[in-house]
Amino acid sequence: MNQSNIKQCDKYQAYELNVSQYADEPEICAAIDLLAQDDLAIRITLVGGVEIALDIENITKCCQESFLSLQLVDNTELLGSALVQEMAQENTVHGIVVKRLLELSRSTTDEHQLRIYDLTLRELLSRFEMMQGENR
Amino acid sequence: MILRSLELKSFGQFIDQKYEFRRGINLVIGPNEAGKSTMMEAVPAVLFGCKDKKRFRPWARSQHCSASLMLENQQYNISIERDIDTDCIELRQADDLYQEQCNLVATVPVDGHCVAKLDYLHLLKKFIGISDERLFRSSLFLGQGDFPSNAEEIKRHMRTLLSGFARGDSTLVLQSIQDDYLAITNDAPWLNKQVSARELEAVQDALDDVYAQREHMQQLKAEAQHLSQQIEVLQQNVANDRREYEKGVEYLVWIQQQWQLAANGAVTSSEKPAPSCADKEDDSAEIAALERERNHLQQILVSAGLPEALPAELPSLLVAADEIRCALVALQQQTIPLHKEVDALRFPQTKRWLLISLLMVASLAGVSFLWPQYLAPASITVGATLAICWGSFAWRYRRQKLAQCHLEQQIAAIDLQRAQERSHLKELDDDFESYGFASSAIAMVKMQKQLQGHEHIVQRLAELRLLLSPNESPSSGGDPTEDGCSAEDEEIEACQDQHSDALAKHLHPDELPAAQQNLAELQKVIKKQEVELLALLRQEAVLQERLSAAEQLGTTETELRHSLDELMQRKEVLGCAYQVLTDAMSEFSHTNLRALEEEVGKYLRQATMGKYVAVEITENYALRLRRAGQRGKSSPLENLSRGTIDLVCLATRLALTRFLANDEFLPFFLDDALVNLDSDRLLETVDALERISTDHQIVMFTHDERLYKLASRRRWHIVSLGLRSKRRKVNKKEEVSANDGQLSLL
Repeated sequence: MNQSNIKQCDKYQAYELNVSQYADEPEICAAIDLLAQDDLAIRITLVGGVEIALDIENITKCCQESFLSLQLVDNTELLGSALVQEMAQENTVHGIVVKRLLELSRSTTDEHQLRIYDLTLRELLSRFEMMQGENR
Repeated sequence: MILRSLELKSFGQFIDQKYEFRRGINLVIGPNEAGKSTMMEAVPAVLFGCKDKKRFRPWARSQHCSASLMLENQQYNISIERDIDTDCIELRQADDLYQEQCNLVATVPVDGHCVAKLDYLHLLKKFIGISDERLFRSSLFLGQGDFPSNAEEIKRHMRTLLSGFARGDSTLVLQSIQDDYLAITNDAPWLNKQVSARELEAVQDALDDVYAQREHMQQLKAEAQHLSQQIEVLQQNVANDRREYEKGVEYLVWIQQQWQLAANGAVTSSEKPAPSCADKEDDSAEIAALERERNHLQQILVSAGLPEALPAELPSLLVAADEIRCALVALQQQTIPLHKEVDALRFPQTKRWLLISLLMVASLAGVSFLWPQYLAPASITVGATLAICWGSFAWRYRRQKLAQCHLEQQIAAIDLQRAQERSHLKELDDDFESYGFASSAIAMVKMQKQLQGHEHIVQRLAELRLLLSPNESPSSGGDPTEDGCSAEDEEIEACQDQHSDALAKHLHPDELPAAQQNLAELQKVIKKQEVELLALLRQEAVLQERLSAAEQLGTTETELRHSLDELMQRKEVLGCAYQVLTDAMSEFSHTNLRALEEEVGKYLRQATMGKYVAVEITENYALRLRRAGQRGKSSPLENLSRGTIDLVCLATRLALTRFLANDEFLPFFLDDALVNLDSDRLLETVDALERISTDHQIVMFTHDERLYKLASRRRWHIVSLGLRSKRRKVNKKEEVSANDGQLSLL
């Protein structure tokens, strides 16, 4: 793992991990495991763009045994995802929802509002996904 | 676009089998467990991968599960091959002359995302118009239960597909968002009715309560501060008043004693001419007791080796003598090391140098005897060496002498100090001797210790002497004469006059009750203040207890704030989601429904052979059909026959497929979708399918004999699976044998 992606924020063992270069959750877990110490209580803030919303609970479950205590904070950004851009091209309500959120996010520079749009996108995608269930 | 071929290399029960398909209707027929569904599932499995890797793994084989397909349209061919286990895909695009134009070989995981997967999905979108598996499945696949039997089901299917879902629809999502939003807050701009307060309002109220309590705490804090100031002032007042009271009481006692003494003096003077000597005799008993005590104490002192009458300067003299002796001892200790150093410097170490000189002279003599030719240089060397040695010795000796002089000067200075101290001691000794004491150091130390041991006796003696001194006659030991008594009386009178003058400045006996009353009032005031102070202290304790709850309040406030922030963010997110979804649904209805109407109408005209020419789709996706020749008049779908509903269903599904795939004519897969139809409806539906399959490729998977017969008659492309092929072989054999039988009969 590139150490430049990890920035020690303060003396309370808080770290910031840029996950934009990792393809999936196992790779992120591997990156977190590089920080592993049995006696370390750590809070990792995940930042950077992601293609799909991360399952923070699953990542925490995978990595928590390597630490005394592990707390993950998801501050990743989904709005820039190429997959989301693809979704916006669908001729469905789903596609229009994504397209509208992308337009809204492009129309503002307010950090708080951008975060709200990002969370809204996650919320809607999660609800769509729940509605579909498992298709395979 | 059509599915040209499907090659199942190791896929389920298929091992290295390739199936070709044609334009129009293709029928894949086979009994149950023949692999129809597996073959149909191979299409999305190749395109999008499979999460459950074991699902299509070859039975009792260790090979990797893999399959490939070829899609074709008028411009290009696309071949996609996927290893289901490793998700390694190979996509090749060639033009109509089979010239390769695009090639992508990559690992495209089902879960997770990488650049290769994004590229692959982009290519899928470009070639087949759909890059989402969910949309692909829901739009292109029609299962047995998916064939709607009434208008309501068609409406629901349309709503689901146009929402971009496989099941459920956007209105359900909207409802769930609204429910969650209303669970958080009642502040819903889109809701007309008023609902009761929710979690957010409850937290807000709790936080407002905390703020109010905090404000109250601030007031209590100010009150406590004010109270502590009051307490401090009151405590000072009480202390001052109590001090005043005690002073007053002491003063009254003292003044009463003085009045008593003055009254005694007055009585004495009023009883004149009785002689004062007689009065002394009246007090003789008391004086005698005091004198006895004095004599006893004096005897104790004498027995301890101390004189009866100790001079007042004696302790200070003893201390001074002790200090001088200590100083003399210290000076003596300083001189001892100095004397030792002087003794060491007085005698220089010459033996070593003499021995060296003798050795060198002896060696020179040896040289002159053995090697007389080296006598001169040897003599020079020895001479120079001796000169250096003795020069060094002389230099050192001089330094020693200087140090010795310095030390002797120090000793002389100390001796001078000692002489001075001795002279002081001599003076003290003279003083002692003048008092009749021994001046030796031992005697003085002994006396000092005795004096320290009998200090209380010495003090008591001094008091007794002071008491007895006025009673003793000035002529000690002599009898009192009249002259002496009169002189003393005069003196006493003078004293009494002075005392009376002094008392006149103080409190008068008449003023005593008023003073006592004042003191009583002061005491009352003090008591009142003490009661007030006690009440204030209790009040302060209560306030401090209440203020200690402020820390708990801080923790509660932090938790509530955190909770409020979370709820506010959730409210914002859900509100935004609701708004965006509502807008999206509205936008979809306004912009896309007209285009979809045209698309469905086109298919409907083909399916009904022009009987129905147009369709209207309402905002809630209900369909109304317009017959040919009835301009402006349309009938709701539910009023039409079941056969027509089936045709509308097919038309809408194909139109939706095209609409969702961005005008691409994709193959349409029916998995036993028509099996529940009776023969007449089946025929009608198949006829309609034939009419609309001019643009779409239809692939039907079934075990229905009726369809097989129809397919045979109508020259559809038939793919037989499993037992069907065997059965066909058996049938052919039976036919051949029957023919043989007929021929044999002939």
